[in-house]
Amino acid sequence: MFWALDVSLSSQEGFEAVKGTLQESFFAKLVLWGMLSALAYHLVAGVKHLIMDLDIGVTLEGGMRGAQLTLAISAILVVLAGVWVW
Amino acid sequence: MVTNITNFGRSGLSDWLMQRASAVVLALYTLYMVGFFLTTSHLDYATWSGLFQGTGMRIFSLLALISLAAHAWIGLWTVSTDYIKPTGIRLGFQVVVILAMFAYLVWGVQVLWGA
Repeated sequence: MFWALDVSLSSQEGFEAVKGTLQESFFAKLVLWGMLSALAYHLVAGVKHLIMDLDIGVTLEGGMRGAQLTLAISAILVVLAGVWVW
Repeated sequence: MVTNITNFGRSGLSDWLMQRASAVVLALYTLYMVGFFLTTSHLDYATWSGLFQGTGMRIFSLLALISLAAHAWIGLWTVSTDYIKPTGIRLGFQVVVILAMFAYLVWGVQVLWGA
């Protein structure tokens, strides 16, 4: 990801190279989708933790609902990321 | 009381706080970038490099990068102290993590402000 940022900012050709790779290469798309999905889940679960730090939903039921919500939202974001990458 | 030397902050509490603070910064940066990509149609080199020309964006990006370094260090330190019991392997792992984050930090500064 860092390498792509470096190359894409280095020059016009570098930008085109990264853009081209991301459009054609199946593997690049898969890696990007994987990272975006992991980030989406981590972000949603992180927000859940921040909410729990505020003493919200720290009961047994609250924990269950929080977990289900996290999975549901993450699943949606993963699909959206997939649509966006492909 | 267990004395820790490879953790990020002075105490467990300062690590806990820095983890949350860095997480908020990273969440904001992520949302900003997603917003940028969604609202920019036909992204070209001029727009993309222009984004990182602005000092404000450079400061925000460096803040996010430093936050990432702290977030990753604390996060992976926590993971390693939970799961890697043998001290030698654990310390080796932590050193690799810290060096990697340092390298990314220096690389990031070079990308943002370098040639």
